[in-house]
Amino acid sequence: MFGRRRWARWLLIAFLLVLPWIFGTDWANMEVRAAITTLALLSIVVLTGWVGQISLAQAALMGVGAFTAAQVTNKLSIDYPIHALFAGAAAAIVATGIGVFALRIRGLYLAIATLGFQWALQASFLEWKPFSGGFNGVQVPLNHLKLPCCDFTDDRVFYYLAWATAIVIIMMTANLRDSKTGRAWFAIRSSEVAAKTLGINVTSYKLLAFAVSGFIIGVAGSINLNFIGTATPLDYNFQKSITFLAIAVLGGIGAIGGAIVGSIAFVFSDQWLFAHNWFNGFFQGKIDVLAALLLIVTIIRNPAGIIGMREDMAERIAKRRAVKARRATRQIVLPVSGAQTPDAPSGEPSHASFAGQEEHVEGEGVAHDGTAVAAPPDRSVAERLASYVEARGSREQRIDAAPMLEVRDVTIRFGGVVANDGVSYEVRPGEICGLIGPNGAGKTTNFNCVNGLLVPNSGNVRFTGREISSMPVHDRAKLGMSRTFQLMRLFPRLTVFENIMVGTHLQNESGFASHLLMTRRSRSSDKRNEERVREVMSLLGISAHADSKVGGLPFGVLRLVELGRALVTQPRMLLLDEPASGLDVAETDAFAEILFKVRDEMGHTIFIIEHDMRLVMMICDYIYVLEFGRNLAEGFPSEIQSNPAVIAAYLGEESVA
Amino acid sequence: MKHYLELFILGLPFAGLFALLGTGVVMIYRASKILTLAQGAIAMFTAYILYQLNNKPNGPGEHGFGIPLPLALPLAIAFAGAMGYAIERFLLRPLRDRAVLVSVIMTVGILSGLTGLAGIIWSYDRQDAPKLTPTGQTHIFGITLGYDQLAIIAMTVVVMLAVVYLFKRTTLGIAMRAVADDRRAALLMGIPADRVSSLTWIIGTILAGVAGILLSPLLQLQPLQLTLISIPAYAAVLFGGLSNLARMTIGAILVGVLYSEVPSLPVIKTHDFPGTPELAIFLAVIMFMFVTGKSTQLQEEEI
Repeated sequence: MFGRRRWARWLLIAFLLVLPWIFGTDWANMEVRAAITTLALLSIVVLTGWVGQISLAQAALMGVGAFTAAQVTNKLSIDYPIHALFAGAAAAIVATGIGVFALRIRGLYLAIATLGFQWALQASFLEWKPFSGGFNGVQVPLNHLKLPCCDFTDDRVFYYLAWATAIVIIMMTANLRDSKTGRAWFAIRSSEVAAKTLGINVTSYKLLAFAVSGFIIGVAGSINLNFIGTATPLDYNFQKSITFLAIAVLGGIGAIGGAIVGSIAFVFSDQWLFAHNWFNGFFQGKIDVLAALLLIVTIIRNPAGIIGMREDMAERIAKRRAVKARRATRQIVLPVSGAQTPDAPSGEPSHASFAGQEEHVEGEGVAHDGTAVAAPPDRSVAERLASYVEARGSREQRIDAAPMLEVRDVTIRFGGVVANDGVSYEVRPGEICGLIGPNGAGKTTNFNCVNGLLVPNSGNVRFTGREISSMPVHDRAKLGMSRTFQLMRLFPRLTVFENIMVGTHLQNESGFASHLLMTRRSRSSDKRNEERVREVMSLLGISAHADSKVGGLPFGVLRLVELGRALVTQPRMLLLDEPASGLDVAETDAFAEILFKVRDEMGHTIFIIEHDMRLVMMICDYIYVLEFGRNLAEGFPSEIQSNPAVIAAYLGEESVA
Repeated sequence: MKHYLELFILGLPFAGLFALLGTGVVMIYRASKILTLAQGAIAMFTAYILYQLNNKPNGPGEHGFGIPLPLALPLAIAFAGAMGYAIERFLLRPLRDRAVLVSVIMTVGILSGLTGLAGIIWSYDRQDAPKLTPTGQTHIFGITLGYDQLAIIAMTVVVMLAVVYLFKRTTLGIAMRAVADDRRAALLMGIPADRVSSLTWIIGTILAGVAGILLSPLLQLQPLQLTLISIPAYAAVLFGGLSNLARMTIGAILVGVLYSEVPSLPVIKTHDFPGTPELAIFLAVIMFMFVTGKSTQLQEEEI
């Protein structure tokens, strides 16, 4: 997802190994602090950077870890490496508790709620003496730390132990990021709704993120305890939570590297300020303030943090080059530019992308050329489409099979507005079925109800013979239902390939433990799915865009990416909500052909809402018409076209019936 | 029973403070869709500014310009407004097109920065804040209340009425609501949206400043403590769903009263269950939020 820079790992490890032998124990001490801070920041990277859940209670969770570790040490005589597990588990449990609230309390509210948790936990630490020892905290005897193998009185030994722990956790976290779990998290960050429709159980993945984040910072707490030999409530106060968040953003909140760079920079500059007696020691211990000021500057200047600067620089250089190149060409082009302008700005990019796609469909595999000039609609597409339509045109009977989707008397009310009033229809397997109607007829509302985003007030929805009216969205996806959205919900910070890869969630049966350790099972699943994604991309003709972020791509391509993402879930039925809106005639034709292919070659049933009547009449086997939330008509395309009630509804006349 | 009534009334000054702080947060949210967590820090900083202006230094190492209170007070409040202007203009306006949580993190940075700055300038030791009201107390319904506490309650009532009037009856209030609902549409209607945002921040931070100035004589000046006291105000804001002023006020009263009542409720002996008032307040509000399923539609936005 972020590029697997394995060499960076080994470099870091090698650097850490030799560090204390170069600089002596003072530096080793500092580096222990860096290990602790790295883990603390990592917990924020996971929760906030990857899953988009803000937490202002991280220091309190660290405290939970530290105090638990202290109690385990003192009462059960279990020492460092093992008691870290207890600490992590305790913090994970508390964090999951916070996560439960995060299921319903989102965004800004969550910021306040976690602030409240930090405050409440901090107050509890101060006063719950059996657990935290009150104001003075709990001490652990450091000589407890003697293992049979090594004597912990040498700082260097603890240094290695701390970083070993940190590195194991960092690696596991990196594994998670590159696995199905990580993809599910990224999906949730961008769009919970889209994630659900791809079969991701948003509830459990969110809780998992809180638990993982809690575990990481709990372990950090236990290392901190063993480092300073004591845990006091003031070590884990509000200020610390804020400082952690500040350095995490400074380092770069989206990447593991950001946590490492941020913490090392923070700890070293803290030490450095202490070591220098500038302005009568004015700066000593003022690192929190500096971090806050730097945070403010970072947010405005460079949102990706220190770790993002590298990419940022590369991007800026590329941009400058592009500008230079454009300037150079403009001088030549200028005299004739007037002749080119009419349709160049909007028409060109989307046409070009579809031209590339058509070449692909024909099996010539010509590389996509982003600068291709606008071409007239391809004749061969029109011909091929005509043959599809002809094949269908002879059919005047619906496919004779039990309906795949059955909607019976569905009524949906929003307050006083009745959006759907007893809507009924059925979609048979192997069909391309259309749902049309004037704006505001309740089509999308009905779709949302089929898909599970809305629960009907009355009536029921049956899918493949099962009653699903109140089934959660992700379970419907499991049954084989996938959809696209009228206003596309792609994951803007992922590439085209990664976007579609998220759709393979249900095809990947590996479990959490296998993601954590990146076992063969997880990798082979991913590999199989990657192939499948490539197949789908080449079917849709978007292979050329595989590695571009979806942010800057033309609209027509994005529609295809969303279709591809729905396709790789291997649905039995595809629900398409106005897939052709925003496409021009040529793009629509190409899209129509793809839909025919999807149905005929991949065997998916398609249920489509669409306003473009040309497309609807071309592709649909059977059509239902809604008006004002009620069934208005149904029939084959030819019947619908000549139905006076439908014509009246669309032209806005008085009802003819 | 009388005991609880007493505690109820003793909770009112706190309720008032929370309402003052909360009103600023709600106003700013309503006009700019930004949740500011820096409100407590601004209250604290303004209180220190007043101290700095008013205090007469009695020896080396002490701070203060010794400006008399009638002059120092408006200056401190003007300073609070200036802080609001600067924050909006230079720190938050550049973030307008970015995800909402980015600006929250920004306000967290401001909070941390101001607290640290106060620590650097005035140290983390406690100081006595200038008294605004004559010391003394009065009896209402047999309950003893200090003048300072009364002043807070009175001030809150006045400010709340003024804010309601501003929102409901003035063109500025309508402009603020319009800018919050749809900034572009407001701009097209000829509303100077930038100026409206600035103004909202100025008013919001002045409210925080007033709260800080009123509060500091009750407690004492200390950078962290004065900042943290604002946290219950956020419980009230949460209760009001970020934008509902009336519900926020009710929330502030509930929170203020809980704050003073919970420690002496017989069911919970706070010495056995520490941190209870804090926990109780937030758990109550969070449970409320959880049950009513109130949530902003932020899930589609990014960090």
